[in-house]
Amino acid sequence: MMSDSQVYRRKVTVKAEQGLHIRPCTAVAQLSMKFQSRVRLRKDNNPPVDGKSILDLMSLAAGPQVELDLEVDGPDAAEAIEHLAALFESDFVTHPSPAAMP
Amino acid sequence: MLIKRGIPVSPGVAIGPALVMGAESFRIPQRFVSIDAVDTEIARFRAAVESTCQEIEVNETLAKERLGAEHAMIFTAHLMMVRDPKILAEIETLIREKSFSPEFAVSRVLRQYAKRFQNLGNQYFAERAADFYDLEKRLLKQLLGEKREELSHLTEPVVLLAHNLTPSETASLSKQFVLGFATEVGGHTSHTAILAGALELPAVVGVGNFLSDLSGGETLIIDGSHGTVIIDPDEETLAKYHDSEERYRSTNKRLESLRLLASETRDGVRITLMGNIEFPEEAESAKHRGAEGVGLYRTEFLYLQSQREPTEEDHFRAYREVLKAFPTQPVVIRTLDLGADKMPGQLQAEYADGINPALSVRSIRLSLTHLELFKTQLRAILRAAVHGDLRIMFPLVTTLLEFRQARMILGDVMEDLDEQGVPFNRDVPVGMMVEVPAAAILAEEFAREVDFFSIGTNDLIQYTLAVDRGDPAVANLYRAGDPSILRLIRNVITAAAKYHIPVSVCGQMSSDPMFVPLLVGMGLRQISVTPHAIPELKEIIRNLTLTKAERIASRSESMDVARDVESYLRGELKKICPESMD
Repeated sequence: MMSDSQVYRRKVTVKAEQGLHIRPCTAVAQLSMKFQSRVRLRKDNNPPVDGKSILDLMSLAAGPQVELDLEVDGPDAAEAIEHLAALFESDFVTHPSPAAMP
Repeated sequence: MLIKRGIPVSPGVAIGPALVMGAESFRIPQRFVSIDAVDTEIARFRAAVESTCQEIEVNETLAKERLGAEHAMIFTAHLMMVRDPKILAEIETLIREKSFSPEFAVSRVLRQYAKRFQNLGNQYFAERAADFYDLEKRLLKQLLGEKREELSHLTEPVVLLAHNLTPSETASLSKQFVLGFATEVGGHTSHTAILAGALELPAVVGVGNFLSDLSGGETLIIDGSHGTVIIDPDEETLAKYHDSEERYRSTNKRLESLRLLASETRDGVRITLMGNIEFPEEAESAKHRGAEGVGLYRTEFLYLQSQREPTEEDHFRAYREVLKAFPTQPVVIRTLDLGADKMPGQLQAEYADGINPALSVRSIRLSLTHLELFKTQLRAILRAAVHGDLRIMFPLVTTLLEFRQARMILGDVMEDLDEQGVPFNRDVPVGMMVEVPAAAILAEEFAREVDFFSIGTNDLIQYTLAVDRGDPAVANLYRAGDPSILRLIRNVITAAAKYHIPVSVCGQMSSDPMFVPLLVGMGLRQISVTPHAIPELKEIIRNLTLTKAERIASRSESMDVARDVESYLRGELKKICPESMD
């Protein structure tokens, strides 16, 4: 059996001027849903939230320049974390550039 | 005391406590459901989520096309919120474990989210609360089937006030508890106004903004004869209106007694008075008021009643019911007369693009481009026609080719019925509405081919005078007495006489008493009006002589402005019927 239990972690920063508002949340949730892996985001020491739930993301209430812990685990986690990190980097342009592919 | 003016659309006086209907307020009818209904309720909830998603998707596509992807994003977000597994699970848990009704559960969960965001302390997130309220409304609308619950839960008589009432809301008003109504928007000939007349509810529309001055419960007077709405009347005014309420009732009784008398002039000319109806249930009351048939049976409600297209059986049942009230008299069925913008479902999306609906795909044009829809209705009419004197009338016919095409399709339908061995009446008369100036001008050419004419003055006036009948800003320019209108009507009557085909008038113009002597004088022998106007018109006809009517017509036709025509006609009416109500 191939081990896919590895958890990928990355720190991401919210660059959007308005913080992680409805549009970035939509983009993050949309992208997360494309992967099978579980996607979680955590602000400070709060409990992590589900990256596929727009409501969870919104309830992070992450303002501009806030740093979040991104955590992905599952069969396509390696790919997913690159795409998601790129999305944060790109200031939430909905289609991350293919250059971000590992 | 505060007096507001609007457009009087249905006569009479209503006095009672005000009920203000919020534009978007919903009342949750039931908080809990029985345990064994849980599965059904969850299914109902899921169906509502599905339709809500579809509705949002339509908005999303529209926004994308019109405003660009950036603006469509909000709908994408709404979609994801509705489909969010967390929300769905929370709502379903409340239904399953606590027996909450789906309405109650939806409202509870979404309001909790809204509150949570309001409390986040950040201005931007606080504003997001509105998105949750919006979703709550959308879901409730689906669950409640777009009904505004207040209306079906009235327990005492009220005077109803609303920004707007849709025709179906108006149609569902209970006469037991709604004394009358007033709306901020709307015009003379809007469907809501027509329905108010049919239901005999005193009504004033197009009052302008006034709801914000009210909280509900105030005493209100609606004078549907003069178009006044009086808020918190003083003693004196109240007494005066109680009086006129009484007077209105006794006049109605007097008119009622005319029911069995013939509709003919003093010198013995018969004028056939028929009823315009919208619902099969109105047929009985039309008959009771003395209608000698149905001159215009609008079939739009079959299409507007539910979200799906009516089946052949739906049509058939409705037509049969009307024929029960009028087994031997003529019943003229007007085929679908809706704009594509008002059609339920698929069609609406196809055409909902903001072009001028009055000049776009509507009525016969819609029927000719959606043959299945059209044929379904024609089949039902032909089949029902076995049971009485049904006639078919095509609306909005503009060119002869259109009429021929419609008639050809009718022929196809007959062939199909023949092949299938379904009984039907192949001799159904086929007529047309004359309501487009082009058709009125070419009346002679049309008269050679059609079996009868019915002049639809509402649209004829709208198209001739270039006035949108629902727009309060130009409502005062909408004049039935305009010489151009009289000229067109004259042309149609002359053409019909030349080719010996019947002609009637079925627009609202003919239910206005002052136009009756004029129309009779111009040669009209058939009038179809909203049923409650029949007794009053009969009284006028019985006081009239043909000589007098002809004199009135020729005098009116020599005038060159609507104002002169109308004030002359008003004066003449007073002389003919001094006791006629103002």
